[in-house]
Amino acid sequence: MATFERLASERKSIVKGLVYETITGRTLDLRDLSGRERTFLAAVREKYREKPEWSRFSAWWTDRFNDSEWEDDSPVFRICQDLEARLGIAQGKVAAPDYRDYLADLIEERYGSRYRFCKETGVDPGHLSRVLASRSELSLRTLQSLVQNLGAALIIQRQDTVAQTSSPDRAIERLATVASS
Amino acid sequence: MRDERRPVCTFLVPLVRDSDRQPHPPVLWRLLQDALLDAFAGLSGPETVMYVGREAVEGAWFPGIDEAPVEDQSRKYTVAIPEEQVDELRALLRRAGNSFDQRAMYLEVAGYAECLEVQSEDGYL
Repeated sequence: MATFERLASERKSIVKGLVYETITGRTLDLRDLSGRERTFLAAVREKYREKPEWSRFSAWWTDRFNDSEWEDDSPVFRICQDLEARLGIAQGKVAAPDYRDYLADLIEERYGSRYRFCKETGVDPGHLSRVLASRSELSLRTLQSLVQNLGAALIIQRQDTVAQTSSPDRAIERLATVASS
Repeated sequence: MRDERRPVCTFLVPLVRDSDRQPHPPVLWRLLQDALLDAFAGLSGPETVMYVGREAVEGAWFPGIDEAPVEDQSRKYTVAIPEEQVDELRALLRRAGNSFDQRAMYLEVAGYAECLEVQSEDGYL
């Protein structure tokens, strides 16, 4: 499917509450969630509405997720990680996402693992690890090339737009449909 | 009969980088959680704890003999793992130390405190 058509389709799904969009714009398909997963997310949403302390929320959902025995590649797991990150950012405990967060998510989404990405693109895995740890940088040219390889593009966003996108309230809205269905 | 006893390991991950005292990006917390869950199921925590300087948590990293104590917040994790996996945990924490820009990581194994010095060759998460 052409990129524009795919994006338009994803946008419609977000509006209908069929997908969850993370801080970095990654879309998680919610259509195939089981009844148990929906119930779990409804409970998570209720807890989240209380705006708990970042680490408390982390411990809370992790304990319950471990009890569920779902795999950690479940969309539920990624949604909870995303919710946790939003709380951390809102509470000043976590930095706002930068290009590294987007890059890591794109790599996971398109290649499944950093190992596979590095193998197929020739990127030095050590350098990529240092970049993700903010201990090294990519030149703009390299970043553009990598991002293009990942089917994405670099854009400049206003800080208030980024803050709005990563807010806990945005996530609560996104979960409203799945939690009530 | 197999000995089922497992040492309880507790470790701290500071909320800010050593070099510039800035909080970590979301991706690092995600990488840490993924790595911990991959290696050790049954992790509990985290909880946010506060330590002040070097006195509050014996064995934790401190700036240096002549430097002022640092008030800091950390995330505290607890995991009970087989004894033979403790070295694996130490290696993971050293990698985390590099990723989280820490000169040392605080670990307690069965009540004994350790200060893990982090070297660049330990790698990253």
